[in-house]
Amino acid sequence: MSRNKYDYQAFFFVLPLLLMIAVFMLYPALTTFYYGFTKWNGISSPIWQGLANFARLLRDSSFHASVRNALILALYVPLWTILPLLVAASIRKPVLGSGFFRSVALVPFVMSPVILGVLFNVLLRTNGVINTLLRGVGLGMLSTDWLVEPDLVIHVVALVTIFKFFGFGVILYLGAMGKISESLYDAAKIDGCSWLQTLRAVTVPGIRHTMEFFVVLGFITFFARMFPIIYTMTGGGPGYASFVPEFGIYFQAFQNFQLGYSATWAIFVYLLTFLIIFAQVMLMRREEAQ
Amino acid sequence: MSRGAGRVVVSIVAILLGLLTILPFYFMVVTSIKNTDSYLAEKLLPPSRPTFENYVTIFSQLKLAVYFRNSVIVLAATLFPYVLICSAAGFAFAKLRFPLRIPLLLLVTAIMIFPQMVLGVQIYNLQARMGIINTHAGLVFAYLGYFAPYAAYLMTSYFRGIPRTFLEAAKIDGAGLWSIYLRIMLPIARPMLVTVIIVGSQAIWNELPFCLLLLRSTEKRTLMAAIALLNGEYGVPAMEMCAALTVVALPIILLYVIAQRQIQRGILAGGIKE
Repeated sequence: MSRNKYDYQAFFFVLPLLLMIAVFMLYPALTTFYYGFTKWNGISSPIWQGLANFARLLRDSSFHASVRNALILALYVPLWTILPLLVAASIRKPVLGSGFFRSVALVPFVMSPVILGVLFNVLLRTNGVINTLLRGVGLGMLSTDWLVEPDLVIHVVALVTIFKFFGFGVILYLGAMGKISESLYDAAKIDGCSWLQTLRAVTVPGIRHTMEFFVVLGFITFFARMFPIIYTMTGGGPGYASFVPEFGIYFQAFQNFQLGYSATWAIFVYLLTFLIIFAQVMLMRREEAQ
Repeated sequence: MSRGAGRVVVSIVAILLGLLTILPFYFMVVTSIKNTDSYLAEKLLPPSRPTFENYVTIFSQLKLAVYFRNSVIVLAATLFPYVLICSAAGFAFAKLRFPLRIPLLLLVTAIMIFPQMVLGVQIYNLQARMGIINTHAGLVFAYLGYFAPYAAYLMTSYFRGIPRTFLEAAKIDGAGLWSIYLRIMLPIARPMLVTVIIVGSQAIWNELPFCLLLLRSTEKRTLMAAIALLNGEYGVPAMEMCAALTVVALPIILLYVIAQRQIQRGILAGGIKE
């Protein structure tokens, strides 16, 4: 049997998948980069604008708000990354209760962001359950209008998002920790390493690739996948207090019917996503070089 | 401090975290079986006299049954082509040689990163021109394009683990690629097919941006878009909202209870590599 012989029939097996990707994903993605430079209401033919849409974007106060909010969300990536790490490292060796936690850890993750967004919208209302709960445990002074305070709301959104992904992070890290050789932990113990030293010297290096994946997921989530949870929890408001770049795409297209300008917003979100992927690839290259 | 004390602290923290994880969903269910009076009087505890009137209301007045049926139709219509497309591609990527195999596989992996909201508006434009906007078929195509790549990626890594000898032996017996795929590969891959179906069902059931953008009329709408619009536009009371959420969450909770292992395997495969 010759080694270089191609199975040309293979194309029939990959064709349906590639067709779906090409028509319904790649083509729409590529057209964004054309429409973003045009003035277009979706009905008449698009008019080429050059860079005018981008100049407008840079002057747009809703764009400024969305960038500010995206940056605030990104500040939560360390918490997003480290919180599950501490918990996973603590329950690496099973203790009483860790089995219970593991069995429910993924429940928020498998729930729709729509369910979480609407649910927390209900729970966080002024007379909602969470304020009642705070008063019940003597923290009544903390009770507030969580989704109405402009300076607070984006932080609440970040914390609810971390709540959704926290258990996924723990289970992911535990899976990766299972692949670390137990002899490394024994060696750390013989060397008299404390819990924190063991975490830094054995656990973190051992699960580094998984942590990198989770960090990248964090940035992508906060920069480009917040729409469902924010749409249902706050609608982007009050005002522009939780307005993120994805909302610009949505509102320009479906409220203002400016599909050209909407695509300009979309190009910005693509650039953010590519930036994250580029940073990850560079990081991986540097590691391999070492 | 003794190690025993440390273990007790970890145990307590683990149990508290577990309870905290499910606490919002406890409130969801408990609130859904209260009437206005018992909700105003007592928010945290279950009602002394549970009522199902909220469930009656959401089905009779908010047309939840229509949306539920639409969601089931879209899910059912997506799953069969989804399984066929991703398993066929996975088989080819893992077991066959063809030009551009690696670049195409990279393309498939890259699709998983594309943000949905960014794609959504242009998919809307495309489907409007194709004349399939506001149809369930259009939504099914968008789901196939967006969710089949991850499934194909899972199938590829599964088929890679199957020894080539299976393939070679079948070839020597004169079997064509189609019969190898249908008679040998698909039966071998049954555990991964189950995983792919479960992960896909969960993703499709939960999805918001595409169904919100592509289905414009009320009678076509699926559950997630309906729930999102319900909460945004009409002041639906907390108890009824929670009843609707419970109905929508129930299939996912059941799936989680029945198939927790497959869910874990399916969603962890993207993050843990050798």
